[in-house]
Amino acid sequence: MLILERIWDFYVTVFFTAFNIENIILLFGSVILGIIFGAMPGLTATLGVGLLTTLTYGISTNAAMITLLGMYVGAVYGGSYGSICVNIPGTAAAAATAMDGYPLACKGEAGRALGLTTTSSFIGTMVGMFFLAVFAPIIATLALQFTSFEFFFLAFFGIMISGGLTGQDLVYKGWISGLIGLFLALIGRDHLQFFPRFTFGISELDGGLEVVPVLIGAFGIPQIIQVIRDQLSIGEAKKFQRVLPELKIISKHITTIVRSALIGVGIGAVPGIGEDIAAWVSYGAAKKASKHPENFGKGEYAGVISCETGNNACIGGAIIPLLTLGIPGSPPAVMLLGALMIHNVTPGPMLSIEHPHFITEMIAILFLASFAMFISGIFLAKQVVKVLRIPPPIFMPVVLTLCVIGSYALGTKVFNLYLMVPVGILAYFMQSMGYPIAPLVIGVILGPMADENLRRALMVSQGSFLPFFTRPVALILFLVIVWMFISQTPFYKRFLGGVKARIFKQE
Amino acid sequence: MMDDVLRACRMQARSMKRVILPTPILKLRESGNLRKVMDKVQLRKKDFITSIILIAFGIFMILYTLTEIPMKDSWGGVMNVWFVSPGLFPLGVGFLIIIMGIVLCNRAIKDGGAKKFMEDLSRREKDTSGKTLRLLGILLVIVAYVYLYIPRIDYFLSTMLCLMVFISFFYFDRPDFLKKLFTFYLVGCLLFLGLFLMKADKQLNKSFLYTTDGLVFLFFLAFIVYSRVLVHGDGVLKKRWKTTLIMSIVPSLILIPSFKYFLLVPLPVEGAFIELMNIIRYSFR
Amino acid sequence: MKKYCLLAFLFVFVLSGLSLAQEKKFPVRDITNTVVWAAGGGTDVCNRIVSGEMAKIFKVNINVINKPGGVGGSIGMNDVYSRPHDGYAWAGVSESCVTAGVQGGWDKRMYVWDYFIVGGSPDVISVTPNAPYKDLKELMEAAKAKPGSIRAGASASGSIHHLNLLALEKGAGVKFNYIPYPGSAPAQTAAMTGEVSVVVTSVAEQQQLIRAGKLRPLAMLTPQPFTMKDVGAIPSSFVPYPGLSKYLPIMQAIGFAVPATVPENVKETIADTFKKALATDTIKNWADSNYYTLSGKTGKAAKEEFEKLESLFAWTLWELGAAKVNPETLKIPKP
Repeated sequence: MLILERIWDFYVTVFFTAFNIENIILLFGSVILGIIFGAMPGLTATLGVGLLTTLTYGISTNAAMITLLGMYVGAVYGGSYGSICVNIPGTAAAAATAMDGYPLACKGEAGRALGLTTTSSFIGTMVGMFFLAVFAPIIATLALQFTSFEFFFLAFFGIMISGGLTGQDLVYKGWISGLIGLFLALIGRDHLQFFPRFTFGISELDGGLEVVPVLIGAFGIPQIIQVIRDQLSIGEAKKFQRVLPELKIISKHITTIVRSALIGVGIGAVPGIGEDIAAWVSYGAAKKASKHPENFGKGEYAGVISCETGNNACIGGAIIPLLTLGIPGSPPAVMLLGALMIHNVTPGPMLSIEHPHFITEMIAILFLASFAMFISGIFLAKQVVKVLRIPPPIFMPVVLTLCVIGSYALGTKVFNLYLMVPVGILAYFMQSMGYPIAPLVIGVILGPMADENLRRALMVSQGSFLPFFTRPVALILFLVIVWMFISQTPFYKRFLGGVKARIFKQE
Repeated sequence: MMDDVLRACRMQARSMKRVILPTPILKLRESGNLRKVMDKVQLRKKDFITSIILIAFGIFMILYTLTEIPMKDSWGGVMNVWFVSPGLFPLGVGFLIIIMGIVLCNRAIKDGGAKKFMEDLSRREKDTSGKTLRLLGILLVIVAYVYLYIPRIDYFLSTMLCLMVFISFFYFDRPDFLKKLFTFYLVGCLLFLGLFLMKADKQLNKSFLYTTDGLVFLFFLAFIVYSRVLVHGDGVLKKRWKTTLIMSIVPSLILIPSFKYFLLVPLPVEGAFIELMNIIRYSFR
Repeated sequence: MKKYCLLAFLFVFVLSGLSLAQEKKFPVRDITNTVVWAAGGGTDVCNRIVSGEMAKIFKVNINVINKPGGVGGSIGMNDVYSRPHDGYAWAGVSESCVTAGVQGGWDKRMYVWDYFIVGGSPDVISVTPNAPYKDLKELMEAAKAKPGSIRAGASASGSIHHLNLLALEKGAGVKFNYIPYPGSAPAQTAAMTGEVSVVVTSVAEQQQLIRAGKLRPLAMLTPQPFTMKDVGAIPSSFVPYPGLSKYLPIMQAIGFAVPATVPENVKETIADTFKKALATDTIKNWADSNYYTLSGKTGKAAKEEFEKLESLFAWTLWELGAAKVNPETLKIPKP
């Protein structure tokens, strides 16, 4: 009976929202604003939801949720625009998309890439919504299996992935870049004991480096310098492909989509980590599973599809622990929590008793938001590609001002800009020497997580490493990491070759 | 069957050997391979320098950690043993950086990067492509915008100035203009730097509101006039100059009010121009 | 050329317009309330709701913006303090802002502000439902028997909840294995996953979990018991341990502040409106349903509360080694 009631609720909300012209305007307005926010470098989903929270104080809870979820979905999707068109990811979540999206744009396939991201983001959001609707309680219980031990392995796993994202030159240059990222993450007061590390008495460094200025510095500034200095013209779409979903490509990559969506939902549901990690893990998994891993980074469709599905599926995942336990699953969900509190809705286990229709409403709004995203995405993608026709000497300076205001706006600290520039110049020189930049950013994102959780875990176990191997989820993660490590060594490849040869012989 | 293939392979290998061994360098140059080899040696030379920096940096990290970060004492009310020490992670990262530096160094020596480095110590190459000036131009714009103007000058004005300078540097697409404009802007920036270093800006602002904003605005106008004088008599460039002017004002006019009034983000310095916006904004209410 | 003339003209116009004499009546234009913590946090929500009600009475807009960052919200506080002291710039602050001084982000004492305290949520100590401790006494005795073996989670070192935990340890003479978390929510999550067995956060933050039976409240860290819907009364920790009154309560104090040099008549107007706003049903209902205790302190009483908090936080942080500036150099008296 409960399920029937819920389905009824769902349709009622969908219809009432869809047939209210004000809501529709609000929905599309916020989704488009979200896409713009996502596309602009530095303006992230977190910032967008945070800023809109400010504006939703006066309106009803339902309308506020439409605005905020629309913004969230739009911004996570819109990040891919910047990645594909200018190689500057609009959000950290879209950094992985740049790996293959920009090479595609250079080949003149920007339209197709945007079409693929639109479709895969749509599918991803829908899968996330489906899991939120059906499996929320189960996933919430699973999310509680993640303690410091598991968080450490998860962070370690992400860092391992970064080692695989090598550039054109030597393999271990990826590792070096990742280590520099880890060092940057160390700067500031450590989160457990508040001890200042590598701050050299500069009190602005106490808070540590924020991810957004590092991301913008590391991706934005080298790109601006390179395009202007070497007079590159960004790969203009020679022939315009249709942005409508190309079902052939989509159906060819159906396994990638399913895998990435599951990864996205799972990572979203784990408290504290969000879309960025979901995208990287989906990308890494797609590369591992691919028959042609060497094509990744050179414009592989699967690369774009995997991370876009992953990061959008993360949204539904992140809302699960928010609504069922009151724990936000990702940084934008933290903002969402604040917005709910302003509207006098305290999410948590009692939510379904205090506000019985609320979860279903959220699901319905997410459903509508993903449709709105799909429709506006298809229209916008066509226009966005035209941006590439603006001559770079005009376009890049405007991008610079966007980068600057984006890095400033989240923390409203001028100091973030002071950091952005040196990081950018460092990244420029590293890139010119054949170092990939993505591992650096991953290092900055995951460094604190690995550091903090390893030490907290040891604090909890009083120095014993045993729980790392006795806790079931930790053990699984550990085995995955070990397998990943072994599969990269020449020994394993030789072994695999030997096995294959033997099978071959028998045939 | 298998034997045939093997034989063919061996044959091919032998024939290749015959070709490769006597290949003179001239031939490689023809095929463009030499450039690649040169580039690689050049890259390895840079790698050699990088590896030394990495090793030094790793050693610094470890030394810093050992001397500055407590490994055992209680800190922040948390019981502290080696495994909860804030120094644990930096030690690991520093150690790995040293290892990576050594691996990279080894590779650079093998590929001749170190040798190249030694050779190049005595003679220096000159850049003739003009790319260095382009790079310097970009860096000057970014550094001046972020470090000089944003912290002290009205945000709207600094953004407008930055856009104007950046676009005019490269949109005219004339190396001689770039040189002139670069010098002009550099001199202006140095003057303001001097002013700010002497802390004269604060004194001026105190005696009369927004004086420094006014000075920078005058500089902005001067830059516009100077660039207009440069393009004098050239129809295409005149058109580009107009575009430059529009593109320096319009994006700032869209971006800044939407952040200030719609998204309610407080801007770094809200000087004369933003105050003007405030007056306009609040008269429509 | 016309364009430039126009621009130059406008520029001069602004300069002259700004030097005009200031208005007498308050308020005649929009007020900006700069919250020094991030959007969506407790301080932010509290300030938005109170500002919303006050705006209705004032009949001008009160724009609530966020300027987080620095240490103890120092960036936002410095920003507000650098604006004209005319009562149009408020700083949305909380008790943790008093740490900005010893952490090197604020070179003044806290008495340069005048406070309008909305209130806060009292702290409660809870355990996981499967923990063997039925009341505070059992927990404390277990902790006494094996010092440092029971894991207690709270937000970061030097935060209000950590200070509450420390006060409890001191007052009852026990020692926990304190595990810091980046905030209250992660600490509570850790309690649910079983990573820690004791957690100290505010009632507002815990109410959902307590009422759903995911956490078991043992005692309030305030002199009064607290009654919660579906749960009943949570006893005060002062009953079994009267010695606690020496160290506790350390209450949250969320509200906003204006520089003390703002003209007296302006401050009075704000205080009057503030009291009227707190008496409205909207605020009362919000406080009830969110488990906030309204305070409504202004003027001298509010200032005293903040000075007490300042000396307590500053010296505790200094003793913990988490402070950068010696409270003595700032002339902060010992608690």
